[in-house]
Amino acid sequence: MCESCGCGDAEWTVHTPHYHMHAGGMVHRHDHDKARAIGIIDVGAKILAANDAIAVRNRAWLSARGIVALNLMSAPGAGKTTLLERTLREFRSTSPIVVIEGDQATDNDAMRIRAAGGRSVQINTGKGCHLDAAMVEHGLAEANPPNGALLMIENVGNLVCPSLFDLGEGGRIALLSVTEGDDKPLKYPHMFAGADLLLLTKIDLLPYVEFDVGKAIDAALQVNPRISELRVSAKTGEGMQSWFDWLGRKQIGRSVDRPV
Amino acid sequence: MHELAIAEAIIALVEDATPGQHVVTVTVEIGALSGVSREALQFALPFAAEGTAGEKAVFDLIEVGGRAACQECGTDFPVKSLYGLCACGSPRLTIIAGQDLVVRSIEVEEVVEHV
Repeated sequence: MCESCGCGDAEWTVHTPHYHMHAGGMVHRHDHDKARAIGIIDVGAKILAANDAIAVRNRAWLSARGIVALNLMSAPGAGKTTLLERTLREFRSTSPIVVIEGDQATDNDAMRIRAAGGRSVQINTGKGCHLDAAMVEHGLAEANPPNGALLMIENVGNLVCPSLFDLGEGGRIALLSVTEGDDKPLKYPHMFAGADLLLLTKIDLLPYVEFDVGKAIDAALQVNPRISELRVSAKTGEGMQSWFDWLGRKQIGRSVDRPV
Repeated sequence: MHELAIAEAIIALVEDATPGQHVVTVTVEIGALSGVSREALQFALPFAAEGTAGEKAVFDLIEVGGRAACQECGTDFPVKSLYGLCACGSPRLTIIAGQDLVVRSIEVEEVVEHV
């Protein structure tokens, strides 16, 4: 009850003459001239908590089935789908490869993956510029990857937004094509700060572009001292074996290198 | 423009926290290193709030500065990016503040029976 005006009931504790603290932690401030009360709700909730909770669920679901899930991220056109096509054709995987394709529109990529002999599910994000954990949860239900599968999640082409959303993956791969510019890790630090592997793609084009491989790797290391690095051309096949070896180690290790 | 997705997540939190109430002000903390642009979020919020409890709310976006701790010498200091150098020369930094996105508080208005 308010000592000043006598309003309220006994369950309120008086905070100051014109503030009342409810048992539930809500403060009531009231003004005697207006029949209105302002309540301040102390929320203190992380905005991405809902996404992160689903990501935790996805990670547990994947882990229980021994599925290695990798989140492939890059700018549009860096060669994610081409890399996956060649991987499906040539990588002697010890287990089935399943691909979740994220794009704003079309199922072109899912069809390309199927043509290369892979199982794929297409998620269209519509206005969305990234995949989130709930989309991947739906994708998992649809794809139903078998135990021990290698799950490739091809995120929406975008160097900014996808980095903020934990999907429940076991590893993050940031692709950077040599046609993009060697300072991209410094310009888009979130993407590279969160990645386990920097995959330099289209290295067959190096003779034709001004891209300094050393500078790009230094930039990535500056943002993320723990990042690994590989150089590939999915067109000529150069460096692809090192990528397959990296995948093989992931499969053997079943390592989850992102925090659970 | 992931700020629209962030705005939608804020509105979902507001709706959960304020059933049947009239939302006046929503105070949100935006970490300077969170990767979210305060200006873009301020722009996106009214679109996300349309037709919800937060439709007429004022969104007060407060920027929380970044801080890093040096893994070599242990000092902590303000930072403006995810990478940099400590005064001791080490690039091995741990970000300790400025990466979070938090709905801090919501002010709601209610009609009360007493005057």
